[in-house]
This record gives sequence, structure tokens and C-alpha cells, in this order.
Amino acid sequence: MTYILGIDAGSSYIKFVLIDETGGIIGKSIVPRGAEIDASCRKNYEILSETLEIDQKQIDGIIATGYGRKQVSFADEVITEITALAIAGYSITPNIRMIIDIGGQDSKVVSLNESGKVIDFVMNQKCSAGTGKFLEVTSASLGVKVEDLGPLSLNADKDLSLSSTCTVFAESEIISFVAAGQKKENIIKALHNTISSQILGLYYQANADDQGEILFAGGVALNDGMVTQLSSKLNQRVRVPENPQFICALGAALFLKNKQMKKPV
Amino acid sequence: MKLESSKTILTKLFTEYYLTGTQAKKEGKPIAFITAFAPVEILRAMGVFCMYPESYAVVCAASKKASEMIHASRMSSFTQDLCSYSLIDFGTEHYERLPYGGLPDPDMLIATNNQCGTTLLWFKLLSKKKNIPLFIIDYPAAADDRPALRQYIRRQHESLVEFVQQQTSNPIDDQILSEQIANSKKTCQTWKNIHELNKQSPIRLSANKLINALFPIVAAKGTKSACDYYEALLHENQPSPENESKGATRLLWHGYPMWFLAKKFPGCFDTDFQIVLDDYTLWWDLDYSSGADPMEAMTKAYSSTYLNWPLNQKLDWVESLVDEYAIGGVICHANRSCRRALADIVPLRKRLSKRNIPSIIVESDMANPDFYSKEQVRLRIESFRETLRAS
Amino acid sequence: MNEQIIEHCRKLVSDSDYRKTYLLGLKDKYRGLTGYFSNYIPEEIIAAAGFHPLRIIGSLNTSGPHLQTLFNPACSFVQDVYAAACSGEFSYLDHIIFPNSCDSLKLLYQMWESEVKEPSAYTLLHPINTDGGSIEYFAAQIKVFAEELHRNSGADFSQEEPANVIDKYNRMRGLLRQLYDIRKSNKAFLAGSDTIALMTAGLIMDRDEYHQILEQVVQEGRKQKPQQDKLSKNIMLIGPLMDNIHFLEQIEESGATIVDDDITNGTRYFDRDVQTQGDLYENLDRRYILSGPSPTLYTDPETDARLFQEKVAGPNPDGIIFINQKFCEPHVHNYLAKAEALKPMGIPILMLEVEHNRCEANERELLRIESFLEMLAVAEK
Repeated sequence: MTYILGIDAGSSYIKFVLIDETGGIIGKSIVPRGAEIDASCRKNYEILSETLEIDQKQIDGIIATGYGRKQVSFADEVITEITALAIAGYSITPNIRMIIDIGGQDSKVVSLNESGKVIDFVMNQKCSAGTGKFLEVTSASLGVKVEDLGPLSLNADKDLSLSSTCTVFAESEIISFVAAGQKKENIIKALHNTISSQILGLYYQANADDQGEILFAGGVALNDGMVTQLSSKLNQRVRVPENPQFICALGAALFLKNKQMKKPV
Repeated sequence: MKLESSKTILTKLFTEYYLTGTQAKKEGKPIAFITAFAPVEILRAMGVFCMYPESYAVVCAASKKASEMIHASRMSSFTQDLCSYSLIDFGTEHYERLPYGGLPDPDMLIATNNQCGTTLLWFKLLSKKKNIPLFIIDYPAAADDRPALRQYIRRQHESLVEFVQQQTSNPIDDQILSEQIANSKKTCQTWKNIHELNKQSPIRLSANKLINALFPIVAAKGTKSACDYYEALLHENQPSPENESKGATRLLWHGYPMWFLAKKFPGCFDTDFQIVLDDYTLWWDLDYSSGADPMEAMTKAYSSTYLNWPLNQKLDWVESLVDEYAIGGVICHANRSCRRALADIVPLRKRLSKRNIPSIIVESDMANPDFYSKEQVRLRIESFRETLRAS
Repeated sequence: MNEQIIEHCRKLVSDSDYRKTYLLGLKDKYRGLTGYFSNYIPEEIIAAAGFHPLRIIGSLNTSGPHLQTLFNPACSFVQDVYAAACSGEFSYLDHIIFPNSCDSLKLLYQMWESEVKEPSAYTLLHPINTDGGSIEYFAAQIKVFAEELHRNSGADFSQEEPANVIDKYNRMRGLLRQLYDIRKSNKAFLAGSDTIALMTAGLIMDRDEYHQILEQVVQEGRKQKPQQDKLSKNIMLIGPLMDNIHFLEQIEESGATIVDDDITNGTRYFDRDVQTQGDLYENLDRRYILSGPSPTLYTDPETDARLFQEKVAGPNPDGIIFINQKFCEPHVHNYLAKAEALKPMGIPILMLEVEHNRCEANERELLRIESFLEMLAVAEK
């Protein structure tokens, strides 16, 4: 049996996905990025193979994607997250026409055609509004853990409007909401609403084809509150895959598998 | 005969403006979209009904729809870095709950660069999108009035007449043109006189009230109704005996108001810390004084708009306002939407500082509430107030 | 290809100290150094008055002290130039000429008058309208401009000298067109980034020296046999001034070749000559104002779109990269128009918004570029 390892060296976390010849996921792991991307990748690659009791000789190829992709010195191949997202999305169901990935540094919207090829992609501009970072910063000013944002927001009972789309402004607005005694739950819902609006903007720019499904990938997709808000903005229930945070790593691994299959033996 | 109150006239003007637009469309009367400082008198004298998308953007912002409309503009791939008036306009296409049901489609577009370059880009795009003919007038920002320059502007005004004639087959009515110019001249003079009421203390009309009285001079300048409106407003606000309130700090708001705020300026002001004037409202006091010839009068009036002035002229003028209105502090609005209006802020503050007049900068936007941080602005203004008290 | 020439050009564009030393060396040859912005200023008039015209490009000096900055909506190029000016970078100039174009430059002009002061600034109020007596007006403005220059130089202004200069500039533009033609059949002859370095350096360099360099390069290009095409994607570059050569190099290193462009310091600079027969002013007006298309002049949008489509159809690139300076309003509109015009042609376009005063493409931008190239590669299969 041979395997392929996909590494998504993101700006906040590094994700590993090991697939077999059929494309099935054999193992996965996620670790905080750390200062030394290459060393961290190497160490966690070893931990993963030990845990799975797989000899590294059985690993037929290693591919890296994500922000730190070029720093992974032992990778045989690198691709961008855009291509990785498209491949993974299409492998989940060919009906996907749009993939939304809210990442730490930036958010991406990728549109695909019926054969899974990227026809357009849009990323947020320089401001961190509409990214995972925005959620992190603002949840910190609320004193709430990122993983609690989703469940809390579902208990909101009032619509607040966060007018600003800039992280700095939003922070000060959140502080004034807190000072005015507004419930955390309602503030969080407003926050999700603001990010969803930003994503909607990207969605419009990405030459969206209304005919297919929308896949919501990345760690933020684990937040039910965001899923609800985003679906309501897009007038369509977005599809959240199993393990959304591993989608890029999976896509990269699948890319290498497909490539190797085409290689003359 | 009982004179109509200014309020009655204003309501009438406002409703008529929007109703006439829709009505004109139904009757097949030509409609033009024009920018704030386009020579509207020519168009009226040729039977064209003129509407101002900028003024409409203000209505949208004041009715709290700006944020949603600007978000909607992203459906056409617009970045939020553009002028918020233009973004509101681009958003109308994708937005359903438009004030007054939206503006009717125009038959022609007239854009000028005597305020900014944005309007040209904006109207150029509208022209392409809706396939509507566009006429552009270039008013060079020159300090002097060389004959060649005057001639160039005059020629463009004449070309505008030809352009409108091509579009409508209407000839220009010289009688109406002269009346329009006379009305414009009178309106500007009365508008200035109304402001001057605030030279005394207490002021007669708050800066906010002056903002609310701006619509006729923007959208109906040249008409008899606009003249009547300002006459009535002046009449209703005769100077009262001087009543010097002790310790009151008279402030000048320099630049655009914030249309999305109920009072058009941030709160935290009261009677002893009061905005007595926003110089923005005086930008509409155009100079129609050059000669009896209507074309000549318009050449001067429309080439010498505030945003088209050389820097020193701007600074001298603001400084004269500071003197005439006994201003004790200046709040400069750095409006994210308007590059041209940002040029004078730094040099103005330097001049003021030489004369020991404190000033601050408030960074926000004229129409996009997303760029308004209430807490930040409040903090800044309150600390300004403390500075003023201490000095 | 002569490495020394390219190195000289690259340094003139990217190293502001090198540029300064070079330009100070020209002071003896000319009556003075005249800086100018944009493609609307007729360089021929400056040269005819005995001055050396040079285009103001960015300092790209990220480590330098940015003493003062403008407010944010001023485009990042203008912010960069302003910061450089405040730290005295343009002290070698005798004067600087502003165009009557975008609001960011108009803002810079007024800030220059009030805060920078030296070298003294002048606005050439060229028409932006292509109707209503633009030629007469342009002639009058050029006259005033020329008189102003001559007041500085003490030289007489005649119609003969501009005619000679126009001829010289036309020949230079002709050589640049030849260079671009050579690259069409042999893109390996000179990298796209080097071509733009060579092109941009010409906006700064002594024109006699530049002429010689161009002749040498073109001659060499003619001799060279077309080499095997690299497996890179053919990219056309669009946008305002793009003087960040390193950034362009990074694009090419990602697997692209810049084969053609529609940028201010590229084909837009040399694609049209000034006519030599007839009235000087009318010829200059036709060249600099009337024959657009330009984002800040008024030209007919339909014609703009058609001309652009023709321009793209020639090199028929795999994709187009539109590089805009953050907060450049005219080019945001230009992008929308260009993207619209490209739709029927089926050529993908990538919009990259960059901050002018940064030397490196960062991870975000590289990710966009690489993704775009991957997208083009997949589309081909």
C-alpha cells in the first residue's frame, strides 16, 4: 500500500491529511503553526506516521499548500489553496460550483465549472474584516473563546447592527455595545452577519453560477452561527463537509494522486 | 398677501422635484442627470428637467440606507474605496427599497470636474452601462482668468447647447436663461446673507439647520421657488439683539457633514460648544457677478467653485470665515470619499495654529456610516473640548 | 543581451540613490532638470526649452523615513512620492510639472505647494475634453507653459527647436515599438520585467544615451534567432505606472512571461507619434490629448473598448494581470471597463491591488498570481 501526504501550512494552523491509493483519508492531524514551519511540518509528519504505524517509505509523495507551502522543504510538489480547494470540492460532489473558505489571513471564494475547473476566484482585499482573524480579534475583546462563538450566537434574541467593516472600528463598536449592556450572544450574531456580508461581496465578484451547491470550507465552517448567517445571506444552505478544516490538505493530496496516476510507469 | 413659510416652500420644492422627475419621464420630457456644479441654467432654458444623483445619494444616506446600498454595489464588483455617493448610485441597481422609488432613467448625462474627477468617472460608467449620451465640461483649476481659459469654458458651454439641441431638438430660450441666471445670483446672495446671521451670538440658525436648508440651492438654483425659499428663510430669521453668552466656544466645521447622522454632525456639542458654521454650505455661494452676459456669468461662476480654487485662495477664504464668524476652534472632517477636499486640511491647520486657533481632524465619510466610528469621534471631540477649555 | 545595460536601467528605476547621482551628472549638459507626472505632459516642449524631462516614479524606498503621509484615499503612488518629496528626495530637480488629471495628483499638487515647496511645482492645465475648442486652448496652455520654462532658462522659444525634438522623440518611440515587435516573435530575447525596466529607464535617462542603448538592443534583437518558447503562460500587463521591477520579476518567476502591456510606462508611452507636418500645437494636442483612450480624459467608451480589444487581440495572451495602485480611482474604473471588454474575448483577468511603496510581492499577492497561473494551466488542458 502506498500513500500520499497533503500538508496545508496555513497562517494559523498546519493541517496534515494522509490518503491511500483510493483517495480515502487514512489519517489526519492539525497543529498550531509555530515559528518554524518546516521544522514543525517535519516533526508532525513523523508523529503522524508513527501514530498510524506507517513506514515513511510507503509514502509516495508529499505535497504542500497554504501560506507556508514553499517553506515545506521536503514536499515534492506545491500548489495553491485555490487549486486544492477546487479539487477537494469537486471530489466531494461534482455538483459544487462555488467554494467559500474563510481563512486566518484571508477569505477566498472559488467558482468552478461543471468539470471542476477553476473559472474564477476572489480574495478579500487588504483589510482583515471578513477573515478568521477578524473573528479572533473581536471574540477576544468579548472575552469569548472562538469555539464558543457558534453556539452562543444561536441563542441571540435581538438583531444588532455592526455598521463598520473594519476590524479596528468594529472592536471599538463592540466595546461600546458591551458598555451599553448588550448581550454577548447578540453581539456575536452581529459579528457573524458582518463577516457574511463581506463574503457575499466576494461571492458576487466571483462570477457565481447559481446552478450548483456552495461548499463552505475552512475552520470557520465549524461555527454553526456562521453557517446559518452565510446560508441566509446566500439564500441557499451552504454545504459543510466533514472536517472542513482539512479540505485544502485533502485537495492537495488528491491533486498529487491524480498527477501520479497520469504519469507513465 | 400672506407670504408662504420657508418650511412650506421647502416641502413643496422637495416633493415637486421627485414628482416632476417621474412625471417628466411619463410625458416624454427630457431628463438630465447632472453633477452638483453643472451649469443647470442652460439646461433649464432648453426645457430639460435636471436631477442630481449626488443629492439623491444624500437622501439615501439620510434615510439610513447608505450602508445597505453600498454593500449592494459590490454586486457590480465595486471596491469600497470609491466615493460613497457613487457607490450608493451604483447600488441602486441591486436595491429594492429605494427612497422615492428611485430616480427615473435620464436621457442625457452632464458631468463637470469643478468639484472632483470622481464624477467624470462615475458618469462615464453610467453612460456606458445605460447607453446614455454624456457631455463633459472641463473647468480648469486656474488662479487667473486668462482669455484663452474663459474662451475654452465658454466654448464648452456653447457645445453643451449644441449637444442638448441634438438630444432634444429644443432651442435655447435666452429669456429663460437670463431669468435663471438672475435667480441664481439672487439665491446665492440671500444664502450668504442667511449665513451671516450667525456672525452674531447667539446664532440664528444652527449649522444643522443650514444643512437642512441646502437642498434648494443644490437642486433648484435658478428657479423662482429657490429664490422665494431663501427670501422667506431670511425674513423668518431676522437678527435679534446681540446676547453674548459667556464662555461659549464658536466652532467651524470644515468640510462635508455626515449625512447619515440625524443631526449631520457628531453629537457632544451644546450651547457653550457650538458649531456655528459649516463652510461646506457656503460652497454653493457661486460668484455670478461677472458681467451682464449670461454665458460670461456662468463661466466665472462655475470655474470658481471651492474645490477648484488654488490652495491659497481656499485658505484665505476659510481664514476670513474664522475672523468674520469669531471662530474659536475648527473641526476638519477628513472625508474618505473626497480626495480634493483633503488638500487643504494640513495647511489650514498650520495657518490656524499660527494664530493660536485650535483644530482637530475627524476622519470619517460623508455618506458611508461604515467609516464612522462613533466612539473614536466622540473621544476626539471631547478631548478637543477639554483642550479648548484649558486654553 | 548586454547585462550591463539592463543593470544600469534596473538601477535607474529601482535605486533612488543611483538615480539621483546619475541625474546630478546631467546638470551640466542641460539648463536644468524638469520632473513631470503622467503621459499628458509633452516632453518635447520641456526638451525644446533645453531642460531634461524626467518622469517621476516611485522611490520604493521602504526603509526611508516617511516624514509625513497624506490621507488614505490618496493613491499609494502619490503617498510614496509625497513621503519621498518630504524627505528631500527631489531636491535635484529644478521644477516639477503636474498634469490636469486625477484627484490624487491634484491633492499632491496642493500639498506640494504648501508643504514641499522646493522644487517649485507647476500645473499644465491641458484640456481633458476632446471637444469645445480643446486645440486652441491646449495651444494657449502650452505657450504659457513654454514661456514659464523659458523664463527659467532664458532661451528663446521658436517653432523650429520643438520640431527637431519631436523628430528625435518619434525615432525613440519607433525604436521602442521595434523592441516590442522583436519580443513578439522571440519572447526569450528579453524578460518582460527587463523590458519594462528598459522602457521605464528611458523616462529618466539622458535621451541621447537612451537612443544609443535602444539602437544597440534592437540591433542585437534582430540578430538573435528566436529561441525555444518557455513553457510559461503569456501574460499581458495592464494598469497605471508600474515601476516595481522586482514585483514583475516575481510574477515571471511564478511561471509567466509578460509579453505585452497596456501600462503608462509601457506601450501607452510610445504607441503614438507626434505628427511633424502642420501646426505644432494641433499635433501635440492630437498626440497627447485627443487620441486617448485614457482613464482620466474623456473619450468615447465604445471606441475605448474597441481599441483595447484590438490591442489585446494582437498578442492574444493566455491571461491578463491588471495591477492597480491601492486607492487609484481612475484605474478602478478602468479595470471595470477593461474586464467588461474582455468578456467576449474569453481572456481571464486578474486584478491585483498593490501598495506602491512596497518592494516585494507578499504572500497574498503571490498566492493570487500562482493561483491565476494554475487556473490558466488547467483551463488549457
